[in-house]
Amino acid sequence: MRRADEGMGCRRGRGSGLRLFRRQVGFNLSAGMEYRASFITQVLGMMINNSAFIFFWLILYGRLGTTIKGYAFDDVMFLWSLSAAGFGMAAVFLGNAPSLSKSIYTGELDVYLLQPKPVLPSFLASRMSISGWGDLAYGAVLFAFTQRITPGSIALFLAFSILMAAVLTALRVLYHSLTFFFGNAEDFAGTASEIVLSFMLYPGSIFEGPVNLLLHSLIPAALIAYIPAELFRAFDGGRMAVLVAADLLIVLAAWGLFTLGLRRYESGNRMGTRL
Amino acid sequence: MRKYFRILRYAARDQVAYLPAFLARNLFFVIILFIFSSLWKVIYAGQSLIAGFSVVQALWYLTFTETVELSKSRLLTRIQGEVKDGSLAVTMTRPYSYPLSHFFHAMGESMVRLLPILAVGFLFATLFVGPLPGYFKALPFGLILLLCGMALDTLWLLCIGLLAFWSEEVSPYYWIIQKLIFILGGLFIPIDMFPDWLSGIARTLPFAFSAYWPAYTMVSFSWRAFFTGLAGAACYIGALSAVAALLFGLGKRRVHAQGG
Repeated sequence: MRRADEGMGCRRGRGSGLRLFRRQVGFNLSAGMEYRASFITQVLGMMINNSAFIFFWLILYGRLGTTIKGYAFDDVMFLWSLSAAGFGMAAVFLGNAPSLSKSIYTGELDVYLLQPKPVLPSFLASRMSISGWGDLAYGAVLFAFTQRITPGSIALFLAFSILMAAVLTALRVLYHSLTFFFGNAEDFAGTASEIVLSFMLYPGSIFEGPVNLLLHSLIPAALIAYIPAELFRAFDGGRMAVLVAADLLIVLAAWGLFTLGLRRYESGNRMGTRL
Repeated sequence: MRKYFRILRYAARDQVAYLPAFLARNLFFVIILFIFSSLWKVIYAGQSLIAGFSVVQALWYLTFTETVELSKSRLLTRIQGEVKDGSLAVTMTRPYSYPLSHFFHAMGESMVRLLPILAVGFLFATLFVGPLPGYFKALPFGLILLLCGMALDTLWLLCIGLLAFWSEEVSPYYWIIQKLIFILGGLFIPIDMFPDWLSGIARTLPFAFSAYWPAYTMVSFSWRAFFTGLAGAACYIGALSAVAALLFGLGKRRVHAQGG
């Protein structure tokens, strides 16, 4: 089988990659809309599902009548709106990341290797989670109702959401790429991703000691949620630059591990087509 | 009924084989306990009781509500799949009731999952906030209510799974019920902490018998709590069983078998 990295330079221009991404998103959306009632039920269902947690925080803050270690109700709602929007973006535009392990061990990556396009983006964008639209819409609505709306705040929210989507996807790629090296890492990757998601929904200030260090490194909830929440409250250009650099590092690490892993990938010799 | 208990026993025996994988998948239960122990410790700083609950009771309460939630089987996807691909027509020809066999199969799976989740909760709640006073005294009665809560959850899954006769995708309906259990059932936060006008209503709704009453009986045992939990669960189990029977009766008229 031809090695994956050998074809990386072959007519894989940036412009054509973006065009393919746009087409994949458009195709996935029209495929999802084919069953319109199911699409609407899933989107609305996810929005109702997410809004349940507002109640929990309302009750808690109602009981307390004060902040939780510097986090007011609106700050927690910012965490939730950002997490929903970032998670939703990742699920909608790069929704195939959770099935990376399965594609590696069943040999399904062959299909992507044969295309004259970069393998990872093409693989990630080839599936869309319909309920992800519900997360995305919920994030936007919650933001609109609980935060101050100015052009600056909207731009920051959008930027943080895109960063979160990129890092969440990168983390999944990083965890699932271990399948290339250690056999099936699907369960590990699923659990590790859920741990990151669980931590980013609660005020970062409640965690102290070594856990705090973990949240800035191996489980980078601080990078994708807590620091953006602080920057949203009081913007600092220097900190923002450091944050973007740290996020970029995670994305590059994921890309690097995936590329390394591809060199060890063996074809499943599967016959199949993608329609 | 003997055949249904046999289905329950076989499902339980099958489930034992998957226990290690199940526990590994539920590692995040420990994470949730850790997050909530951190949260409750911050909230309880400077006060020993909130709505009659100590920090120890508040965290242990969560271990019991989550036990019911995490022990749930995949009944919904199973029924939905069978209705969609038509394999239900084959199952219906067997000499047992379709909804009852699924109910007992799911209960068998859930009961095997219950014990390890309880053990994990015991270990980590003790580690994070210390032991729960009166745990072993309340355990036999709490277990009965936990099983009732599990039966109620299984009946919700059954009823919503049967909606697949009419609807292409039924998961969103379950998300709504699940969130009602989260909110009004007091999954994360004891109903006693709700505003007074809401706590009175929430205690009587079916969702509270899946989460609040079993957990409350475990962390703050009284005969009154136990019998209230038992009576309420029995009523709602009866009502949801009737709904499941009705839905199945109406749904099976829509099955068209063409042989093959």
